[in-house]
Amino acid sequence: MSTATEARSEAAVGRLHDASLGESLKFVATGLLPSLARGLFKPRRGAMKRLTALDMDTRAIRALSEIRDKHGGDGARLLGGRLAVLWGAGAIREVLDNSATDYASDGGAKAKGMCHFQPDALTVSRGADWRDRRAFNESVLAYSERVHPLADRFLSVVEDEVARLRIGPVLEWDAFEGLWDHITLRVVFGDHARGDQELTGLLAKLMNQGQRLVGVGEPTDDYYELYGKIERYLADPQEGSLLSLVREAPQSDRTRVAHQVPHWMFAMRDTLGANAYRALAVIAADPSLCARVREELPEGGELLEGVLHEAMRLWPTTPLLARETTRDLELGGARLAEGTQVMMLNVFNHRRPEGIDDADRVVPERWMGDNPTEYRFNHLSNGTQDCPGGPLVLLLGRAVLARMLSEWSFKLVEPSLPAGGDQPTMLDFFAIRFEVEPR
Amino acid sequence: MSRSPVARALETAFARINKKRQWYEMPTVSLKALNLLSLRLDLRDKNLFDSPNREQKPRTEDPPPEALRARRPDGRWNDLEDPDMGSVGREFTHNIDPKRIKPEKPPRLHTPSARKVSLELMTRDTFKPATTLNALAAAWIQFENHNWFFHGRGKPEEVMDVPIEDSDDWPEHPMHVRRSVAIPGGNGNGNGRAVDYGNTETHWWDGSQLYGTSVEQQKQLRTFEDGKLKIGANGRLLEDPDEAGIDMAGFNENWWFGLSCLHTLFTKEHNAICDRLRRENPRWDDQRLFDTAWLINSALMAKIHTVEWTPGIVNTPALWFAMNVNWSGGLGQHIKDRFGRLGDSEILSGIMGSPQEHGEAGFQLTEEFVSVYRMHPLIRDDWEFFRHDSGERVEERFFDDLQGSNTRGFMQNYEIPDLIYTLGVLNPGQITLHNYPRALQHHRRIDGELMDLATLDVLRDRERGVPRYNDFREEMRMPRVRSFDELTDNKQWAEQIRRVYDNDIDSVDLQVGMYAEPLPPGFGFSDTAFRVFILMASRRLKSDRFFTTDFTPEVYTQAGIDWVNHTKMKDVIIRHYPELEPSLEGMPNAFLPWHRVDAAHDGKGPMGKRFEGMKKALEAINA
Repeated sequence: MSTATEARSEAAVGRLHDASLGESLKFVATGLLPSLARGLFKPRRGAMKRLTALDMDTRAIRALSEIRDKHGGDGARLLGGRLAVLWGAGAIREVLDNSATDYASDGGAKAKGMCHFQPDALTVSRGADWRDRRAFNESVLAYSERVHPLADRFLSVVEDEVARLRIGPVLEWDAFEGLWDHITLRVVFGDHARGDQELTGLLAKLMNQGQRLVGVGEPTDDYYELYGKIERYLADPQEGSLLSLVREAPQSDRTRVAHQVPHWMFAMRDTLGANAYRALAVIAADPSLCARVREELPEGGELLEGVLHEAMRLWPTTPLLARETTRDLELGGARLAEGTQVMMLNVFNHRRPEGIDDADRVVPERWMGDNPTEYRFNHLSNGTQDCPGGPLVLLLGRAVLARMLSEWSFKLVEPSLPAGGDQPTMLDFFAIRFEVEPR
Repeated sequence: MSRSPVARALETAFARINKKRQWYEMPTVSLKALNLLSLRLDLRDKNLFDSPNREQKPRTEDPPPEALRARRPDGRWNDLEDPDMGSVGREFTHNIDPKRIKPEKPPRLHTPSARKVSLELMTRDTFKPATTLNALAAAWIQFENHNWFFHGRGKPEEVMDVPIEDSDDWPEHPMHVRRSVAIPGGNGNGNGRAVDYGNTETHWWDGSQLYGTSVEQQKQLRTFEDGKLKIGANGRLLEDPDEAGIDMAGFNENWWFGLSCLHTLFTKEHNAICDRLRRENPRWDDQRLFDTAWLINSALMAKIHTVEWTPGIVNTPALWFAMNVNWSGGLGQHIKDRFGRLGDSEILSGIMGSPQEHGEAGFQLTEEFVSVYRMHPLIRDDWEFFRHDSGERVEERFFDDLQGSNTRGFMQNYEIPDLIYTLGVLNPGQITLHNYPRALQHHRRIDGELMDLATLDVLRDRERGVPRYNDFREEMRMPRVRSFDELTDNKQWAEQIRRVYDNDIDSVDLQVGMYAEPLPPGFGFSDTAFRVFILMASRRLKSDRFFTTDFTPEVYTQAGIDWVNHTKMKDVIIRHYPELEPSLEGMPNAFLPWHRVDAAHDGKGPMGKRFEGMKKALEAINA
């Protein structure tokens, strides 16, 4: 990030005011706790169902809207300064551009939970560790390449997996999750790992343990077994897998290569899987959008990618971003002591960004052509800690959707989504059901 | 879909139990039988599908009067409301929702190459005999398959290119395999990719291997005198006028001496039935005699298959019981003979004579049914031949010498009883991996086409959209296998399969999985195949008007009904070849290995023979 950009972003930060205790508590109750309840990194089926029934995100949006309407500016300090919540693009940019230095991402419940299964992951690193691991991740995931060097291979994996997918007359989440499970194992570890559901199962188990609010204990046998398995794959990487790129990637003793792998797994299998499934629902619900998307088949183009972005934006799988200040500093004229938790509530920022029209609607054009980065839309995050796998996510997500749409017609059975209209605040992907017809 | 409360209750109970324990692991015979019943009801409710585009038009023509009490050569008018059901040329349907049927295309179609599967997993290293069965059982299932289905020979100009290794000595690289011939003009399954294939035979269990599938064909086969079928004065079948070396028959593809023997037996049986009918009905004309003998003979073949062949190859008391329930009912044939049917219940009084019913879909055989009857490892490569009277071993021959255009020439050297005796005393092969006959991996069909049937067995499933092993099991609501070690208890096989399938358990082909999986006690084929079997076996009876509503003395004559109910395979053999009686004496099932008549086995009285027969039956159960 250049100095000029830093200067500009600092200049654009709006003010942070102090919210009252009542407002603070309301935000914690409607915004923070539900995010923890649904599962910080692996959504829980039951919690999703209950939170969706209560429409909790709408409540969070309402509470935060009230605070913003009252105080204005780019954010507010809550609970006497222990917490800050941000909604303005300037403040968010300031924080995200300075993540891993001033605003570290390794604090709070998320980091504590993640340490249960990936204590040395990039996302919970700071300082020299972070720089080392970031370079490693960027290299393997080909963050700065226009196209991933193994893209052709990955696309053939997708093609093969969709060809093998046997669905009909309905499609439910479990089958789609199974598809992503296979794709993930083959892309990350290679074709011979396709049947290693023990590996994804171990990770799922550890993730579920990690997001318990209490009682996250010492590493268990599962932890050692997971990393033992990953190490075995790393020792004999299969041609055409992400692991095959590890040897060439920059690394040192502090990289902790095996610890970088679980994040790739769940970001692809769980997060992208859920996002692609919601995107499919959006397309199936809107015949005219569907017709336009179909014009881009069999490959799938900018429009399909735009829909995927919109699904991620409208129903962010990471409901909130949290950072912790690493020193005393000032943001938007407010003093933030070292250790302040800085929150960016994606479910709010993605839906109520001031000055952006139709935020509740599916507008794939937002993401088409050369648009400036919108720092309030953080499904792939922004700034220094943006998602190094972003390009890969879009490649795989688009490919799966394109292949699926080429093979089948989908009719959304549950829930109903308004074609072209304002989308509901919550969309429980576990509950999405399609009727499918082979094409 | 409405389901009976009993079916639901059974399903609820057994679904839970079967997660941990399969039906054959139940502690008692009655629980096993009940679990089987539950599986069957469940399969009937969930695994029967019509072609979605099947026209359900009201019938416009009236049935021809002869169709009311006789089968038609083309299989039409068995169902009086839907005359085309099950008739010749109608498509094979599926036991899987047609929406999920995905015929494989390259590269998937050749992942891994079916030829590689054939060579590395199927090739017979040493002959592994199925010691509880005889080779007559092998011939029998092919005889019956020819009764049920054939996809046709394909067209030489429409082929799939199967990739093969450079080192493979197959004459063509790649190997050309003819595609299955699709029914013209429609895919039928209501989805843009699945293709319908027609049956060149009638779908019914109507003896079309003997009686053909058209009026013209029957004209060639019939004498038009006393209802009889043609057979030479020497008691041998006539030669096919168009194909030298093989016999004339209703269906004579893939001919060999085993088939020829069975065709001879049941042609003679037909004629014997005619004699009996004529004695009782002296005024009947040739057509009436033919039609009625046809009904009786085909019902007899269905019965032998149900209550003898099946319990022979699936040798477990629960199945003996279940198969007899299918045929005569839980109360047994004696009660049924004495008191007749006790209501419509097929459980109490069997399917025979109960009302015709199709369940969730019209009756057609299915691609999955065809797939689970691929049992080529039953065929031996090396055959020893014996004299039936002395037991003397005459010679040893390779299968190629005994089949195709060599068949008749070879058979001239023997009396038919010698050949049947040989079939009776030799074991067939076990249906497992590494036991595929070498002769069939390099088989020249009578039209000159060279084929590897093992490659074909694998490729046909893929081509027709029959899922691979794990997906197939899931469709039959069986647990998926998660690893190669779980697939088979043979460690060496597990490793070989893993290698061929590049560690991908979900790619394992149906045939390979069925040949590799551990068998339930007494089973000669896999439990996976058995699921399709329990669904379709009873359905073939229940859907057929002549086994149900019209299995009556009015249609069959009382003599006909009695003939069916009181004849066993052994009786058929002894009726026409009484000289074989010593080998069959005391045998409870003609598909178990017969007594040898050579010196070492001679000298046992009738009680001794009976004891030995029971011993063989028990050995079969305990195998």
